[in-house]
Amino acid sequence: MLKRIYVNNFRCLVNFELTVAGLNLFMGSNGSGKTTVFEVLRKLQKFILGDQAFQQDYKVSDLFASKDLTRWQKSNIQKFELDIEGNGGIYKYTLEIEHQGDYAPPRMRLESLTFDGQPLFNFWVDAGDRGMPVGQARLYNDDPDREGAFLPFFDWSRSGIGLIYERPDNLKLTWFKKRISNFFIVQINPYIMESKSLKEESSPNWDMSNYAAWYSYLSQESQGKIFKLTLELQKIIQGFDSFQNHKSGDVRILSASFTRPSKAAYRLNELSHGQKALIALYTLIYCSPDDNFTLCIDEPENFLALPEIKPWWGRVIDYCLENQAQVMLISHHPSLINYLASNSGYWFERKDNEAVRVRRITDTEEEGLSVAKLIELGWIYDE
Amino acid sequence: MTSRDDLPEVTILCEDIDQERFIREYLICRGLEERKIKDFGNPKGRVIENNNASIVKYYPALMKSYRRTRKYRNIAVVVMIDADEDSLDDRMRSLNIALDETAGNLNRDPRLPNEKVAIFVPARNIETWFYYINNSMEGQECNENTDYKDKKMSAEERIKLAKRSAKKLAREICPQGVDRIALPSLRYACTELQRLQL
Repeated sequence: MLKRIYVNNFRCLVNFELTVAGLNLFMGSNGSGKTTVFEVLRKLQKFILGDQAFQQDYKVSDLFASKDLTRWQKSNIQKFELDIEGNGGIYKYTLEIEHQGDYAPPRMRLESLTFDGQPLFNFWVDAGDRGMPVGQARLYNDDPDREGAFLPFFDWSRSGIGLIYERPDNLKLTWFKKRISNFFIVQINPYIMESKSLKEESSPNWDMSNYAAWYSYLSQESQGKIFKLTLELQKIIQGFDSFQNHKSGDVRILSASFTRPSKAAYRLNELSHGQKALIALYTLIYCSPDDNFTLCIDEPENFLALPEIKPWWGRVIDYCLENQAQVMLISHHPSLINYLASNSGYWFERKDNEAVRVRRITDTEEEGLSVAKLIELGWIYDE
Repeated sequence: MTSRDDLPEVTILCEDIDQERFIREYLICRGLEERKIKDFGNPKGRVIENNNASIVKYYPALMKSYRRTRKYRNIAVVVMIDADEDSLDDRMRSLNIALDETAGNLNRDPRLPNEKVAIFVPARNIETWFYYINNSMEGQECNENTDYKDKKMSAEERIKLAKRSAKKLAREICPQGVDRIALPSLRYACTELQRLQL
């Protein structure tokens, strides 16, 4: 699981360090940097793996814009670090991006991956002949006693780790890539959840607009999970029976069949926003990878009726415990806050619009007000 | 009136929306910024009923968190509870016992002198204050035993009355001096108000 994230010089994140656990609830005012942390994770995932849903690779310039440099910092270097526990050790990924103003695209200055301190990949910039900087890289293999391959002229416009394919001697590195692909980072927007899909997509995108395409993939690759999801949705959505994903010309149309008051099918986009959000949230639980998985959801409570929030959250906790999964939630909802904050809460704050600071919630006290009430009254931290 | 940075953020614990709008409007008239005034929230969902039991219930928890938070934030609390068929002293005593049973039973107020916590107890209820504020200048008699509540008034009318009364109290009655206020529970509230150090 993700253990630590470090970000410097990215929007409101300056020398920002956050250590996280299995269950994590991010709280704080609007504009306090919670979603920005998710955006960093998304950018790093896209940078290393490309966009799996759209099978697209990304250059540095596609993801890292100079407008995202912290406005009040003078440095043109952005730094990102991830510490990920898994495969019996700790992976440490480091990326530095150098911005070059308006006339040249940003480029990688450093990209490295280690496993328990053992190097797996290293990219750096060296002064080449005639003083022109040259990107160089070294790819190591799993055996620390074997010397890695030196790559003298390495492309600094895209991730080196992303370019490396699985081989028998680099399983540690490819395990890391697989783990990065198991970050599902979403902010569900039921307004744009389409019922049509042109192709199968192996993961949901940020806003879940490709839900139908993800469902098409899951119905082929994970039929058992879809079966469990269907049984659960039958309990949650009144009259729901099953999904149908019919082919119609070049596309598939995802519909939900209902049995009450009479048998009828509704396209996904004909369901209510709350129903679509429920379907998306339960699909994230029931159809996610089997283990080593991180679910990041920005405000899952949006669109849900009050009685639906706790049952969903109960399922999330069960799922985490059973599957060694990790969950990071951003929420403003009192019931989630009161349920989770005392053990798993992180308070984000920005005094006078300066850099983000994060504190673990330790403010609970017997007989005092609940954490949600303290937040509502503005009585939490900010001293 | 412009707001001042040294004014506290005020949390209002009260029985219903009439009381909340009255206190809020009064504080705004005294220079507080609207966003600095927070409503604790009516746990019963804003039903206009006798709700004073919930005030006694939540007061100790609010005070506990207030005492912790005041160390690093300039905050204040206003509590309002109707006397109804009891006296002002009875209501104060029940709040004091809820906060500190020993002190309350000895008729001592457990609030420290420097705690910005004001307790308003309209007698017989907030409508008595509204009636006094809007009619006393015309010389009409007002007492704390009569129930002046007009149960036919809509929620909108009650809110308008609460705001109008708060403005009149702040702009016309208070500037004449506390001694000119004849209604005992309202005069007592003025001394409580000094605790907020506005």
